[in-house]
Amino acid sequence: MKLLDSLRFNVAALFQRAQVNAEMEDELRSHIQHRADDLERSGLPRAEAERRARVELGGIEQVKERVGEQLIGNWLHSTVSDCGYGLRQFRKNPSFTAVAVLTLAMAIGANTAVFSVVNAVLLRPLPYPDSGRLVQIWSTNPNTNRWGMWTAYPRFEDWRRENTVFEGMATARTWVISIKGGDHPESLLGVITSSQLLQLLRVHPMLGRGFLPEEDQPGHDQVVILSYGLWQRRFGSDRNIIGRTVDVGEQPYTVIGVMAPDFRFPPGLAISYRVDAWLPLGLDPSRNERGSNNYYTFARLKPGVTVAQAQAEMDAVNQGLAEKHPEDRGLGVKVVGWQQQVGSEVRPVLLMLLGAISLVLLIACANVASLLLARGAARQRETALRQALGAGRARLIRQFLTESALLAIIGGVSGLLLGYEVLELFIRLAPTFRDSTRPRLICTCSSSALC
Amino acid sequence: MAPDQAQLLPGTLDLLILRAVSLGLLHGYGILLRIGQISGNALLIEQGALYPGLFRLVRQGLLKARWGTSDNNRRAKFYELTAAGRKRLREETENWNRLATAIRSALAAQPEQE
Repeated sequence: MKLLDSLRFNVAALFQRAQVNAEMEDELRSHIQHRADDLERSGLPRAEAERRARVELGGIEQVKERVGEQLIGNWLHSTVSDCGYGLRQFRKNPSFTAVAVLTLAMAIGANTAVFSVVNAVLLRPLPYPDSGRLVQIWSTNPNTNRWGMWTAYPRFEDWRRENTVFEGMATARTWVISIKGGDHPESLLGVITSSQLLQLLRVHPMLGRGFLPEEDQPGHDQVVILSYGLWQRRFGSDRNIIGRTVDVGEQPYTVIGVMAPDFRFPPGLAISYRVDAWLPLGLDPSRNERGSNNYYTFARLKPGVTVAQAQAEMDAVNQGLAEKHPEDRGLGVKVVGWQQQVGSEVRPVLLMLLGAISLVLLIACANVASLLLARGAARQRETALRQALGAGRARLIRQFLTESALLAIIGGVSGLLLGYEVLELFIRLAPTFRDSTRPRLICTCSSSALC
Repeated sequence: MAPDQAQLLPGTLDLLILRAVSLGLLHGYGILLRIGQISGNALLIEQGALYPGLFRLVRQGLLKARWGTSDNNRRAKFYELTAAGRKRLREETENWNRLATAIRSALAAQPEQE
């Protein structure tokens, strides 16, 4: 609607310009006639009088241009004609254009791809709201100085009960399931999780609901949440799926929810390991064994609590547990900011890559700028001619800026396409980095600005 | 430029046009002549600058224009003041006088005597 309005407005302005131009022309001609009348009266022949009147006015076209500058539609009008002129110039000089566009496209494309990866891996690694307060909690073995161990479920329960620093805690492990029914049974990757998962991540299912606390207990555990992909593929995107049963293994499970297409848990998992279903805790027969460290634990800090504070509290809690449970002796605990954890191994490499590729962009911009300068020098004659024909200084500068911007846009668009291809290549090489095509515009804009 | 002609200060062209038109219906060339006449030919007005100025004033609703026939029996566009134009002329004249008085007294100031 808005677009239509602005279009109509600008068309009206263009139309108005034509009308104003015609009327202004009449008025200026009338002015010249009147002036010539006066000059003729002072003794000049008519032709000479008219010529002199024209000179004194300073040219009909020039005056019209100055009047036109006040019109609202003028900006659009002159930009459109500048673009047309710029394109003709590019066509006249294909080698210059090709070199400039190619240089820009390669630099922007490389930047786009690298920045997209950096953005996905380092800047926005967790696709959940307010993810800055999410932490991972690992068991550690101080004797071997190893950390990154998973945790047994009973230990998780003790942590959860005894701490005061977390708003919520949840735990999960992977679980291979097979789904029957329909034409063919299928083996799928599922994740068993405690009921707090979605609440903790602040994510809602697209359809249905998340797990309830009682579904952590055996006997209430025959429920399943489907991924969008599975729902689409196997259940034909049936919106009435909620409440229907699906055979998981030998048992009928009730579908209670379907997640949105962009939901990923655990995050940072390679696409080839796509999780298709989330199942409740009660399913895992080994969940009450204090010795089986199978669970991956994460939590959300209460507002204002730092990772260090949480670590101190968890150390104390853990101390108490070690006294009560012999199995826990010799185990420590480690709280890590989740965002820092994701991609921490690749961070230095990625930053270095980003730095290098930014330099490439700078060099490319400098190259294109010097190309433009050289061309500007070669076009001095043209500039002088245009000036003589009535183009103002500001107008000429705008013309050249428009050409540069045009070049930058063409380069940017080709860069986007190239960047997209390069990104596809990255993803094929390392399927973990699969995210966000959004930052490209930033790249394009920044490089255009640099030009 | 004749030696006794002064260059216009920026922004004063509008005021002069309003003043010239306030003295009677005029076409563009007539306005030029009238400004020359009332200023004793002391002000230099670039002819090409007049029309963008007129266009601007019409846009602002201070002047209105219509086509007519001139004394030379030629078609011409005539301008006259609107009510808003008269009001603006009054305000601008006061402004100008205040400014001119201030500048004149500033320039006439003598060094303080001990």
